[in-house]
Amino acid sequence: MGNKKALWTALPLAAALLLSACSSGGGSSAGSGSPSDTAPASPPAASGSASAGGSAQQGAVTITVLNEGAVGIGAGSIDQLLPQKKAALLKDETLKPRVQESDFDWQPGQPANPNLFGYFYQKIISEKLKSQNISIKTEDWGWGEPLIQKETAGFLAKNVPDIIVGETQMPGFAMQGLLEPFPDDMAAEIRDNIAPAAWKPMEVDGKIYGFAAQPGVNSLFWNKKLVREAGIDPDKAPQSWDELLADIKKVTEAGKGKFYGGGVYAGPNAGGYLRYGPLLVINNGGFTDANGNPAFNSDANVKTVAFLRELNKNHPPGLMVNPTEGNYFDAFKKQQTAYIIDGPWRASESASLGIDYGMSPIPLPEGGAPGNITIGAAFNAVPKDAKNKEAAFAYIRAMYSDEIQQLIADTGVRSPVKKSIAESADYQQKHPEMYLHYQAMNGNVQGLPTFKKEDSKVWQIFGEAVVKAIMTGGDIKGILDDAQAKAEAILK
Amino acid sequence: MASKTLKLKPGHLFGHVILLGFGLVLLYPLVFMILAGFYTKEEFMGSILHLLPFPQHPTLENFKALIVGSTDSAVAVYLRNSLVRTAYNTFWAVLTSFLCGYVFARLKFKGRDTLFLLLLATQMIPGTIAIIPTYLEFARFPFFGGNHVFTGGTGILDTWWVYLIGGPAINIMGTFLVKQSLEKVPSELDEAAKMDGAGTFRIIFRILFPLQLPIVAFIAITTALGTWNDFITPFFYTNSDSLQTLPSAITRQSSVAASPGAVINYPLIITLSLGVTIPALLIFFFFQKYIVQGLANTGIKG
Repeated sequence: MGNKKALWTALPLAAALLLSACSSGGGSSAGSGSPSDTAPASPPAASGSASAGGSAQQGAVTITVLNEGAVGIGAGSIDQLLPQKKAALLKDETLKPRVQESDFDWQPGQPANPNLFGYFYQKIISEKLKSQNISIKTEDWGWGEPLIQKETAGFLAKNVPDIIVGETQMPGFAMQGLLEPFPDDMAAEIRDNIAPAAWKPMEVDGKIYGFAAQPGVNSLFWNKKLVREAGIDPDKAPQSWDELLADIKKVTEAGKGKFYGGGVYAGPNAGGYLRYGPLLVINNGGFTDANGNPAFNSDANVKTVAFLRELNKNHPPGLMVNPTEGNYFDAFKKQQTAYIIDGPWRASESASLGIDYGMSPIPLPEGGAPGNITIGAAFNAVPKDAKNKEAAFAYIRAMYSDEIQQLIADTGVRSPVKKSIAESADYQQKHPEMYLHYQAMNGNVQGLPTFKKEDSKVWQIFGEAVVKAIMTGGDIKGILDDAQAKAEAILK
Repeated sequence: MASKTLKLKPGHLFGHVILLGFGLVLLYPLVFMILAGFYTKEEFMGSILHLLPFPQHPTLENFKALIVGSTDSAVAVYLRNSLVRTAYNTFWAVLTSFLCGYVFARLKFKGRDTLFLLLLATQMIPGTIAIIPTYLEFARFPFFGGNHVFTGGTGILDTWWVYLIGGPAINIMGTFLVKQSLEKVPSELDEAAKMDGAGTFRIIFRILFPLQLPIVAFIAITTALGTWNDFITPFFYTNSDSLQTLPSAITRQSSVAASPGAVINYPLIITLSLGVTIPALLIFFFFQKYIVQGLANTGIKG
């Protein structure tokens, strides 16, 4: 009898404890100041506070940072990963160029083996933070959709790393109030010294919420071999849309079904918007008006979509609007298409595949103005629920340090964002193509907008309208008007 | 003695040809995958593949990576983790199904039928709904991962406990099948064994269990296949490479494609996919009799 009573007493108690564990006010956020093994001695940075720039923690701190493919060397403690990575790089026979022991003697200002970029990146940041008693542990949450889902689950459970990373989802996180704004002094330093492409898309209501060490903007690339076969000068970049379209048509004619002129990926997804979006922007159109409301059916956009329709005729059927963007880039890699608009990594990737490529800024249409959309910008941000915010901001400071930006410059795969490095005479002389890319990052550079409501639905409406306009002979203005009306109805 | 000649009717011949054709069509993707697994990443990206893609510079690296690992030590564990998880979950599924089925079939206690109906009712809840609550449960697991009681740490997320605790759930359908099956076995058998001095566990495992081998085989096979193909658990609740299984590893490798400038390793992904597909095919091929029998039993009323 006594046992039964004890059981019936214990059961509700256990249930109450379990229910409280599942409550959202679990108090795990750093804001609550709950102690942990790695808690910083100073309180978490509050919005707008002028916390000291990257000051050392009183005790040793380990921050957890999400991996980004371009700079990742594995998941775990950086101190342990570095020697493992070095050994793996030396052993890997598939790398081009092969990694030699002497490559690890790189000094700033000298060319760096691109295959060592991640190694040096992590080494430099790790050493900078060690001097502040901060060590780094990385985790790999994947990329693209898997990363977005994991980050969303992490936010819901208030169980997120000290630094998260991402692309198109990051401005949305900032607008939802999930991220910590940069301290004022750090934000001022970034605005004065860094190209806008690295932070502008992450600026919300005048505060910066994220930073990308080596963002990209779109450029035009072409396969010189295919272009030469069409009788076009492979070293001359097209200067206008008309010239570009004419060249593309010539390549398609010369290809006779074996290869095509190509152009730009226009699938109904972020990969498409990021790539044909610059064409909308430089033709004085875009996705939104000045107030952030959809502006799909402007006259300028109608002209751009008409241009896309012409480009579509120079692709294998269905390729340009294929829902899977990988198929489009595979065609360029397999030398089935000649022209492509893509981020700066297209250069190194083409080189590694043995494609002789040309690169230039995207040509302007008649009456157009320079502009671009950031692409491949892996924004690093500090979640509001991060446990070690000051140490996390110290990590971000290291990302725009001279050492890291010089490494980016010396590797030659992307361009640095720090003005003192990128605008130096030395950089302009050594990396003329990447300097053009840097200049493009300083102009009218935008990120993909996040709509006020039902963001993914509004984008889907736009994407499908553009695909319909490209694939059918329908009235482009009518199709875009219809999309505009649907988007406005959702956002009312 | 007159010789026997096999007469093949034209109708049968036509049927055989059609079936052979369908068989080749169904077999083709597997053949393609096996051949593609011999490509290097660079050759795969740089060539236009034909119907039967024979590489010019074949390599065994992808198959080596699948079975014994490679320079990337993470790949070595995918197959091992899949095998361990599958064996572990299958063992617990069989054990819990049989024990629970015995309880509901043989024991009489207050609320038995109501409890059984409640268990069956949980089958109507889609698994997707449970993902976030389960995530929270793992994150708040008391005293694990830096949790002071329920908060402050990461609980059992990204640890083997996700598989050890999250794996052996009560297999409701298995319980149902065992219950249905045991109800057809006369209880006099249990009584006779009791009179001979057998205890409860001896009755369950020595007398009743051998009689239910087809049902047990069905439960084992369906659990094994389900766990082998399970991607949600390692994907959502773990991050470390050392905890990934083959299905989640494929997602990881594929998501590299979304990373700007990455050259996706298609041959490795295809080989990992083979690692997921072939064991499942073999299990189904050799144990299909039990699967069909088990499916038939789900329709039989007690």
